[in-house]
Amino acid sequence: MNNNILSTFFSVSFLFIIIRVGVPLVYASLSAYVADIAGIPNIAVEGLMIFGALFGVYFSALFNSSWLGLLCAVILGVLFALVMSFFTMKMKANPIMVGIALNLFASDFSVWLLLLWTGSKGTTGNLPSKVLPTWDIPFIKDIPVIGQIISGHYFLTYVCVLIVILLYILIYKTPFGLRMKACGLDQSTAESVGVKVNKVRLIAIIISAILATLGGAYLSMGYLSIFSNNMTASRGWMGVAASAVGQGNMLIVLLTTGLFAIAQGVVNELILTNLPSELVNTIPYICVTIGLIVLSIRKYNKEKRG
Amino acid sequence: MKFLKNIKWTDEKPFSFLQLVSSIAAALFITLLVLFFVSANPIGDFISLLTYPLQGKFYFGYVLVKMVPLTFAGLATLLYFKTGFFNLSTEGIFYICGVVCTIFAVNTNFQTGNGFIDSAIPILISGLVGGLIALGPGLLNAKYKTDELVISLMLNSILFGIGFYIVKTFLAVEGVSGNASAPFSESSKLVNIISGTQVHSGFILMIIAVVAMYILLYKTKLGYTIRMAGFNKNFAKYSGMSAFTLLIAVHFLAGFLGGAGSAIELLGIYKRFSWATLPGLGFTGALMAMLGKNHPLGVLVAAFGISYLRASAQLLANSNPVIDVKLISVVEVILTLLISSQYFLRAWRNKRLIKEEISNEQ
Amino acid sequence: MSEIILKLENITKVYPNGVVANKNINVEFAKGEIHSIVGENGAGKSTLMKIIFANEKQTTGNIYYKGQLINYSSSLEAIHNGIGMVYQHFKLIPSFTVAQNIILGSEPVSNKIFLDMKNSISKTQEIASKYGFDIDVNQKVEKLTVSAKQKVEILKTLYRDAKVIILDEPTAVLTPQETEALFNQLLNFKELGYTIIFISHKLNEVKRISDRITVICNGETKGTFNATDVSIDELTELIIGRKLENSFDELRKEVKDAKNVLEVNNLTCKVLGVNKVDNVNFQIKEGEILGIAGVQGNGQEELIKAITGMASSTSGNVILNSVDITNMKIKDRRNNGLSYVPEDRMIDGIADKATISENIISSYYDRDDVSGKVFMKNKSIKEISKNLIKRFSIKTKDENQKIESLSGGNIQKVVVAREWNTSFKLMVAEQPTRGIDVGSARYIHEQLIEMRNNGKAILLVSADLNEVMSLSDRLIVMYDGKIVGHFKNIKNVSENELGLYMLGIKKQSDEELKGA
Repeated sequence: MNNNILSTFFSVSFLFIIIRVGVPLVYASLSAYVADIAGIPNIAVEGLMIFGALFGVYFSALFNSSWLGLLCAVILGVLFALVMSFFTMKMKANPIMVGIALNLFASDFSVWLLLLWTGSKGTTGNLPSKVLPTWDIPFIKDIPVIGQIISGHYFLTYVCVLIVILLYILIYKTPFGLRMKACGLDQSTAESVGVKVNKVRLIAIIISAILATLGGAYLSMGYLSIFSNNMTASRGWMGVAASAVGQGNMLIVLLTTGLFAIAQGVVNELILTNLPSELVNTIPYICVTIGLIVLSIRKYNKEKRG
Repeated sequence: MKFLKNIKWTDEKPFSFLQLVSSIAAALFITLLVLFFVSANPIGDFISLLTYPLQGKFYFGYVLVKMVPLTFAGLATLLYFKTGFFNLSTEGIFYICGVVCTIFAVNTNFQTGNGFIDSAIPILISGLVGGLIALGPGLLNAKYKTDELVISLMLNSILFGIGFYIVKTFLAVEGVSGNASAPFSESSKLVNIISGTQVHSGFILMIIAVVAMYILLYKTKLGYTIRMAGFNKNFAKYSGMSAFTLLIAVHFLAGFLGGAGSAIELLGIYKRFSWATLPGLGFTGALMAMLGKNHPLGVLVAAFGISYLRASAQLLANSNPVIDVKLISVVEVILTLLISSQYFLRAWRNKRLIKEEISNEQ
Repeated sequence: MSEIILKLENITKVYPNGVVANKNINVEFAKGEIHSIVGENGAGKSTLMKIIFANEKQTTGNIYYKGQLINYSSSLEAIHNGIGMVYQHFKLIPSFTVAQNIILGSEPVSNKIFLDMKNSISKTQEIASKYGFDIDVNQKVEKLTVSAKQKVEILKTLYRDAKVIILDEPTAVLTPQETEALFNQLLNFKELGYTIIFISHKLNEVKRISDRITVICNGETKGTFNATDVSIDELTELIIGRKLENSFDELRKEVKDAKNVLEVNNLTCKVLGVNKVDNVNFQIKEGEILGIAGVQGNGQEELIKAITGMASSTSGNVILNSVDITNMKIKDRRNNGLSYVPEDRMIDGIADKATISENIISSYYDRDDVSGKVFMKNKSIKEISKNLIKRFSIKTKDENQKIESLSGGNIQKVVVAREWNTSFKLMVAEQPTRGIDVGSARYIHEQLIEMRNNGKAILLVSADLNEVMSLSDRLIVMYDGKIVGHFKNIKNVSENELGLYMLGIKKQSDEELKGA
């Protein structure tokens, strides 16, 4: 049996699975990252994902279109971000407290909406919701191995790749990116040269919210075809952790996310074995914990060595 | 009425009272708005939401019972916030300590038959386990400055996994739906203190905890260092306070409150252990600390207020399709956002202050 | 007089907390002049500059720029219209390069979207060489010296085509020699038609460099003068209303049989691979004030941290009161006779949201008269606070006020009072009067002298050369982590001479430094 598991991990389908489970994590990480580098920590990623997942499903059923569902989810995510930035930037509320409040709200209110819309607190199973299409990439799908790994994913997977590239350009190659980093590193300096810090941060928070919403929608309109209570399973928090590990460096954020994705992929495989599923499920969380500990120890040693 | 006129609303205390009252009004108003969207009889529903617990002794008792876990979680989080930590591990600790409590409360080998001792043992052991677990993120933070918020959330999921595994594998009994333990022994359960309600002796323990926390924070040496470190960590270090001792004490105490609170909740109103999800008390605890303005008595008041609404919603949920305990999250989020807003009504206050200043100048 | 470029008319500023920072201020600035604004700390100079730069909005009054009434909504507009500001605390991002810092906010763009870094570099380098600034624009700002950072700040305003450049206390962080270089630069700008607004409280500098001088006192103008028409004594009188007494010699008393209190032996502190403190040796006796002079960032901070225990040292030792405290915890050092007035009172010295009495006992909160084994002795704390408030004439309603409601000077008095109220042998006073009013500063200076006369040892670090020179019995100069000069008799050394040591141009021999 051990042999079996090992061979699973080196198989083509396992790499396919890692991409499958990794995409929502990438959305979550980038969502946290964009907000972080602009200096307005967004710890409500988890809550935004929950709403993204729920609204995507609900509105796709309502309008009978997955695209409209996705659009509505994104719009509501942006509204959510506006509320968040109003309170943190205009009303000077503590962003951590705001994040905590919004997460709690998302996880509770989504259950109430679920109840209201479906009569059950569990899933949206009885809603005729739509899923986003998968895409077989022409030509590439026919290449052995590579085709099997990178073709045939959900639409939002390819959007994710596009977003990674666009975000990289935005942050590292445009004036706006420079300003974002300046806002994150030293607000008063940015202000002193006329950078409109609140505007930059508002844009960052909106991008962050869109990313988180897409990550949530991926879960309920692709990965699964329903919304179920607690389906985000702390993925938003893993994103926050990955962003913390990355320390403002996008590549490290992505690499860390990759490691978390592998852990998640391992869970998906192990859950099929007769190992206790409750314990197997904790593997990604343990990985994140270890990741954060390793990061802080490295930082500590670096400072100590001088 | 004359008395009202003499209050200067721009002074610090009346002003924060004004902030609080307006926040509550805003939160309730938005809840009413939500009801208008979904309910056939929004005003009626709104009024019953606000008054239902007053309509019977049992109902009001239910509010008091529901306060207990909220207060314990609030006190634990308050300790963290007061010292300047963001830690939400109360959630996971509540779960795993509930499991620990169950181990002792279902097994007659651990029991004497004396009600006091039999409930004290699981409560104290749960508290102890909670305290020890909470030390983990604390030590990491102390030594390496590891991000405590995220670690504590990951810890919650890990503790839940472990706890659920223990329940499923070692504690679950047949013949009940889901994964539930054997019933707690009668002697380990907390006694009822108000007949006709569910209010149990844990309510008294909760009051004791609040008072003890007040004394700890405002009358003792440890409390002084906790508050100073919370205001300014550098200042505490500069003054020669030991950050390490402080951190250990705070985390242990917070973990203890979480663990003991969990056991008290279980032994107070449950027959057996049957939690299949995390109780959500990490976030709620943070909310209580926040709404209670980081003061133990404030936490008690906040717990009462939120418990009142939650209990009311929960009681109404049986007969009303649109009301559910989760609806109260609307009130909670609005309250938290407004109360944590430093600038809420501040513009109004500043305008008045500047006007006063200019008229004084002339 | 030449054309007026900027005119302030009846500017009044009232802050929400009721502080009136500016009252009916009228000033005119001419094209091509160096115009100084002088006044003591807290007189309202900085607020006025912030108003010109549209960082703050005046409550009432008008500003005319190039003859037009202006009402900028943000400093961005001020920048676009040619007003530039060089802050006292630099507004630079350490991990960005010089070029990135200069272009931030007005970046060159290629293809309408992309940041044109190549163009940025050549453009900034061009401006730097045009005005004779010797600086590598690809260098990260964190690697620059203080005076180079200031150059970057000035380049930032030039890059934005500023015609009016405001410099807020630009010489506070410079040595006399660097100041000289800056002044030449400013005179050059003046020739080119720039208007320089120069804010300072160093009157001899102001008198030398300015064409005209405006004096501000308590938020009001005391008039604008031609620099040639007014003497330093007259300016001083306008600023503080009385003549400044600079010497404490009459107050000094001799302390007999003075023993060594502090010995620092071969102390080295390595921070991020660099020896910030490099093999430093000195001692202080009872009844002695030892001053440390030096340009900021030459190891003074790290030295103080190692002595007070805020950071650890790499090698060498620190002996306080005959006990080796090198690796002791802060509490144990304090118990052994250390007291410490920290550089930044808001960062280390107080808990701003706590009350005065909570702040005034923090460094001895476990003493018998303050707390028992478990509980605080609130009655006794109240009494201690009341006594200290009286003894140090701290202006407050009562001891239960939040300390943040006090003025800077009174907050600093709370810190000094607290540190005084311990059974200390050595007081480390780091920038003890930075940013506070003259009255409080004077009071704190007198307290330090009195402590000295009572046989305490005092280690004084200050960026204000005037302060160290007037208070200290002996003086050492630090440069690049090392002690490079030791002066037993301060009367025999001039400010300029000290400047040469501070810049590392002069250095005493090891033999001469032995007695430090």
